[in-house]
Amino acid sequence: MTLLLALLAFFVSLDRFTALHIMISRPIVIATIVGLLTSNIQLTFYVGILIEIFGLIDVQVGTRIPREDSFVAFVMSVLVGNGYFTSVSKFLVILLLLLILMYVANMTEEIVRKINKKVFTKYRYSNWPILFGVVISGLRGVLVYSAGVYFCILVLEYLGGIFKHGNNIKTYSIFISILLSGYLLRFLSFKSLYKYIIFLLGLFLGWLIA
Amino acid sequence: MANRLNRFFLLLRSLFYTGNFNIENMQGTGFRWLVDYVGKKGHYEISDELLKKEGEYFNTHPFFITFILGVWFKELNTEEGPDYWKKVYSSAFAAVGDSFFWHSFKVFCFLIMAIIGIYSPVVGLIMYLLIYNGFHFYLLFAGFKIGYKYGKNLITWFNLFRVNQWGQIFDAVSVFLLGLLLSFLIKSSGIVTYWHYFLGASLLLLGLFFAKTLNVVLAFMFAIFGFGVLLLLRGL
Amino acid sequence: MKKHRIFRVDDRLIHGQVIEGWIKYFKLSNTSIVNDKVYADPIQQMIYRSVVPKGVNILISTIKSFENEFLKIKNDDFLVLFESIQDLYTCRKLIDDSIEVNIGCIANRPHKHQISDTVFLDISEIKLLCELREEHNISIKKLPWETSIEILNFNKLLDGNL
Repeated sequence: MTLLLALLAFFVSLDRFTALHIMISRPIVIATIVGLLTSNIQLTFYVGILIEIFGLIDVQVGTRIPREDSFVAFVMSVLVGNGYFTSVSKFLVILLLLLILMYVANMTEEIVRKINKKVFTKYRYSNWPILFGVVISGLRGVLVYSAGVYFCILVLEYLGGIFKHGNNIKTYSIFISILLSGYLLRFLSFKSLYKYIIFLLGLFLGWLIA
Repeated sequence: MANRLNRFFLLLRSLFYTGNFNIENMQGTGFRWLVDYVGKKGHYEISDELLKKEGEYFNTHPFFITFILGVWFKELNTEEGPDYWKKVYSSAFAAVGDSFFWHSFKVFCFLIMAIIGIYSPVVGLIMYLLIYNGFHFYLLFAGFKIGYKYGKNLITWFNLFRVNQWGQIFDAVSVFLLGLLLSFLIKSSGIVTYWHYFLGASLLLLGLFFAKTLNVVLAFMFAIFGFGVLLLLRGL
Repeated sequence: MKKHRIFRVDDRLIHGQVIEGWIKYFKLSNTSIVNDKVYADPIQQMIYRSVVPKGVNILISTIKSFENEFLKIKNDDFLVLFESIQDLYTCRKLIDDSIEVNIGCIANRPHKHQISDTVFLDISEIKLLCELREEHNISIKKLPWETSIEILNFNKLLDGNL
């Protein structure tokens, strides 16, 4: 299991910043794959939806490094999948912690880009910096993502008997998703009035057929 | 060069050409690597000097890289030279790609996956990867042939499909799907009381209200705090 | 609602950052490319017109004729794109206090000095910027929601520290 998760972390990091771009780094994809591996797909999937909506409100353009939602999704999915959250309050505390750690994860990608620049400057006309970049980016994923998981497990162990309120992680995930959906709705570019009419139509139709 | 097998290998390579991405030459190293590969396979005469120059600053959306390569080789021996069109098309495709794939198509595919996934996450996952990468791989596979055929006039091919409207069309569909998803989510979780409906509607309105003024990370953090307090006071 | 009026130097002209970061973010209805080469090339014009989102008016003009063309969009919101500092300098008379002037990206070329992660300038460009800076606020800004880097004074750099 650990090996499979490490392999997933390698490809997620690679897909996110360096190569492939086949979307295995999207939070909902990560959450579903981790859910499959840990046999807890029903819960990880909803956590994936929550982090995906959060991550979508950000566009990868030019040299800008988008927020590391893959890191948050990976760590949360592994913890949820392996049943580390015995209460909603612990789930919320770790989620908050990961939103802060996300910036540290972003910094590691900045370091990778700086290393890439140094390698390029030194071996300007060689092709091997491409392979080097692929390997180092994948390793970044393995190191950073697993460090995130182990750190959060330590925090959870430290929390121990405190923060034991609530037991319905799915419901809380859905309600926070609803809040972030407001952001997503504003993010989608379409004429405002029509946008809200179409949205309400979807909401109404969904209500009828669900 | 245009045979299927070579284009398949070009597709595989183009998945990795951004390997050395850095802030100095961006994707330049990878572009030179691909030019070298196509040049050798197609027996094009490319001077060492020109090849070295291709390692300089270059950046585009990765899904359109083979189109740019096609144009580059078509314009190789013309008066303007290949780099003139490389620069123009790399900016233009960055605009199309960022705005369509990163902004719109990603949201559309997520919503499809999420709606299907409520009933079967695995089927949702397969659908997501198939829809997204079906489009992605088609562009990478067909790009060189189309780019080479049209050369500097490549934009006329894209204009056949009204490329600047893709984003808006998919965003409109996504808006509808987002409404659908929220209804499905609420019903799937067995939320039935008026208190829940009131809370859900208020949260959505709050999100809409603060979307342009409050950073989403901060909003997420406030929401976690808020739900933490709610949890202590009465729970959901 | 506040109207966003922006002059931007970006050697890639229209690309992802410009569409996603500026045009869509501020819902701008006008964009303009001030560039002689683009104006003289119908294919390039077609390319840029084809990638700008539907509903956004795009104006392409030469540096010389821009003064007249600018009157068409002057009172509306706009994003005007220049390829180089020299082009912006030529059009400096048009800049007033309501216009935000920023630099997005100027790629690295021989004899250029790194100013930020995306902006590389040579001595002549730095001199022009110093002159422009005396009358206007100019910053390096990749995206609207990112912190801008103020260009306060390059004189120290010009005094032999380059």
